[in-house]
Amino acid sequence: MRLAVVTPVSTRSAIARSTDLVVAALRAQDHDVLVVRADNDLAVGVDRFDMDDGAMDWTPTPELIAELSAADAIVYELGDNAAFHAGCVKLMTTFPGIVVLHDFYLANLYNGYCHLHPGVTLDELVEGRYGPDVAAALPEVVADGRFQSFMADEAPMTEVAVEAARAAICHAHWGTERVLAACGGPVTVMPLPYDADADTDADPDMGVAVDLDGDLDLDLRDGPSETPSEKRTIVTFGHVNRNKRARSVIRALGADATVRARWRYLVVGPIDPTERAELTALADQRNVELVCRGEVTRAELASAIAGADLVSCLRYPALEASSASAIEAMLHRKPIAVTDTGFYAELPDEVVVKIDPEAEIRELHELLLSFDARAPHLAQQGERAREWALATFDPDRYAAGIVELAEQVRAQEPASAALTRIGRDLAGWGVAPDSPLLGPVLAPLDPVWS
Amino acid sequence: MNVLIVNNMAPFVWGGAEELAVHLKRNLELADVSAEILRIPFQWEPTAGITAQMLLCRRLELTNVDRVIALKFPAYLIRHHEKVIWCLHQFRQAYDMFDPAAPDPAMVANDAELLRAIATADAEAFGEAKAIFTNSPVTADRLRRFNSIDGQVLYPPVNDPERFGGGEAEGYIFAGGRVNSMKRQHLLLEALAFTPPSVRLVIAGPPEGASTADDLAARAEELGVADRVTLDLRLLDRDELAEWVNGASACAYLPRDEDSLGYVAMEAATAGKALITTADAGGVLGLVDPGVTGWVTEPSPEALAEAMAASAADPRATRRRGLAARERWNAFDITWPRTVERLLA
Repeated sequence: MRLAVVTPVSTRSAIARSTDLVVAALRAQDHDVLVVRADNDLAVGVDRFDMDDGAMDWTPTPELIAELSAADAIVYELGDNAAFHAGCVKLMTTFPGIVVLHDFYLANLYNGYCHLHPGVTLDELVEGRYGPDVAAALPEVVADGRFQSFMADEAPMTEVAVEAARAAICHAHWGTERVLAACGGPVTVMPLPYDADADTDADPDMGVAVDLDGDLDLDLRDGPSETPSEKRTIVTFGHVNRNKRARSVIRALGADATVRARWRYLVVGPIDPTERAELTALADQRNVELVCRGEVTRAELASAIAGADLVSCLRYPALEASSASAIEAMLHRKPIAVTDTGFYAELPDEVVVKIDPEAEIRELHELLLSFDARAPHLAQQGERAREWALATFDPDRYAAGIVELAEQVRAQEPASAALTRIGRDLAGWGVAPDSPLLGPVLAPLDPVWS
Repeated sequence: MNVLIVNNMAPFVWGGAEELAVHLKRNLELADVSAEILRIPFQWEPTAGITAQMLLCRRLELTNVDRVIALKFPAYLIRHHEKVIWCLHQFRQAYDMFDPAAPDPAMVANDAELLRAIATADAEAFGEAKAIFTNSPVTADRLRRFNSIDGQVLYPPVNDPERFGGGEAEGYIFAGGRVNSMKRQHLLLEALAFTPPSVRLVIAGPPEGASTADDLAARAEELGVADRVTLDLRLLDRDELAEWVNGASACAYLPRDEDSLGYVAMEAATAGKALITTADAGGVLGLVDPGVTGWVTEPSPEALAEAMAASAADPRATRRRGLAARERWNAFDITWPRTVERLLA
């Protein structure tokens, strides 16, 4: 099969890392894969994954248009960052394909894209999909800092991303409702393919930071390496957003003297200076040992994970379609505390410790307090997690799933084309996409999609 | 030249529009044009199915066709670069027959979106047509009023004028055509009860609805006029029909607000027969000039009875009105060669 994969290629993107594995697996399965760089403006010298060899830029030149037109299927790797995924946004309406949703929340992607590419505005996109009332609220929520939570509730842009898609791939079931409602083609859930540097020689005390829950424009501000100590380490890594619950971790650590004395908190990943100051102040107030790190290399990241006793994947609200952090930690055989929500709730109970988001401080504190006593059990859990992750987040299986989906899309192509033409006629007659007039029109096509 | 006549159909229903299509084909062929008829099923109930049927017409792709002549909604939605619309009627339930204050459940539901879709689709279809003709001034007026479209009136010719040469009046009033509540043959029966015993009535044509024929017969008995009415309720062949028309003293045709002149009236005028109709009949009024070519009354049994009685009372005056009706019809100069010429221009 001839496939075009539109994806970031920069090594700073966790999605690119996952896609690199998939592209290699597809090629190993004898498929012809063209990689199209989706990165908005890839500077010379930026490290790139192996798949970049032979890749084309996303600028729609006649050569690229010819390649995309000739492909049996186009796969768009989409995450919530315009710097890494602008090319997807640019191409995927004109050349519909299979959209891989690495995030169910894509407001930052579209917001960023609109800033990078004047001519289309976020207001227009939001109004077109979510209506004038939602669009009218944008200036206010931007001004008062509620943009993210407002968009998550009212206009996550998920539907915008998939409404022209031939098919969609999600990495978890929890957020698929909006996808199913907006995507005309098949929607499938497959575990995110991922590997880890878990088998490399890692320095357990090397402080690291890299984002793994999204494609973040990381800023290296690495501090000095930690001095080995007898304390246990709980680590949170990735871009330090509020939804990573660092405050709750600090409060759990500071809940009693025993835990304070036994644990330290390592936060790795880019962090806003204000956020860093607030976390530091909170840790000082609670007498908690907190170390904040900046961006580091992959080897350093591996060392940090290897050196941690417990990985915190607390997230609330959960915006990720999947969590590379959790997968990475599982591949490192680490005990992992996750919030019982979203993607994390779908992980098997025997491979992670699930924390109730309504009682996260208390439940995390109990875990920290009982950690030494439960260490053998948690170690076994880490082993099970690795085995499960290796079997689940498997690139070969994922690649085969993409091909199967592409075949399905190809088989549906005539019906899909008919539907497109019908849709055009109906839109011309002023029939709304959610009109009850559509029911009798579309019902005969149901067997085609089933 | 290959001309495709596009029409809608309801299976096993045959009426004026179907006859028109057949004769249009025949006359196109007489003009050395290759012609075929495409009949697309259309059923407007339930109204939820209308959108899909509109799409069906819109999405049909025609090849090997040099010109399309489309007759009805939604057939005229079909796309073709050489499309001529000879509009027999739009989907009137979305226009003049739609009353938002009292929507008729048998017609379009009070669904603004469907009405808008029909109007928009009509505008699109009319906008892309090479020429737009209508079958009557009534249809043309409606097109202008609701769609801001100017259509040229192109009356359908009588298909076999040679059959309707006229003849000696045999003393009956003839009411032909399909028999149903919209054509109001029952009103003639009721009127007959108010006429002198000398007045006779012949109702002939295919009944629509399982009980129509029985109902009319029972009504005639009930009114005490069964001995003065002949009910020949079946699909007559053309010679049989012409025989009834040619032997009539006058012809009655009472459609409720019909668009066209009506074949019944046109054939009667061709045969030189006076016409009896009602003020709410619609297009047929174009042929009936009260006191000159026939009678126009209120749609009541009593009023109709007066006209029927008058037609029977003075056969010579009735004959004069019949000849005047023929003259009026001939003045329209409606012939198939001329019609074909305009449709192919």
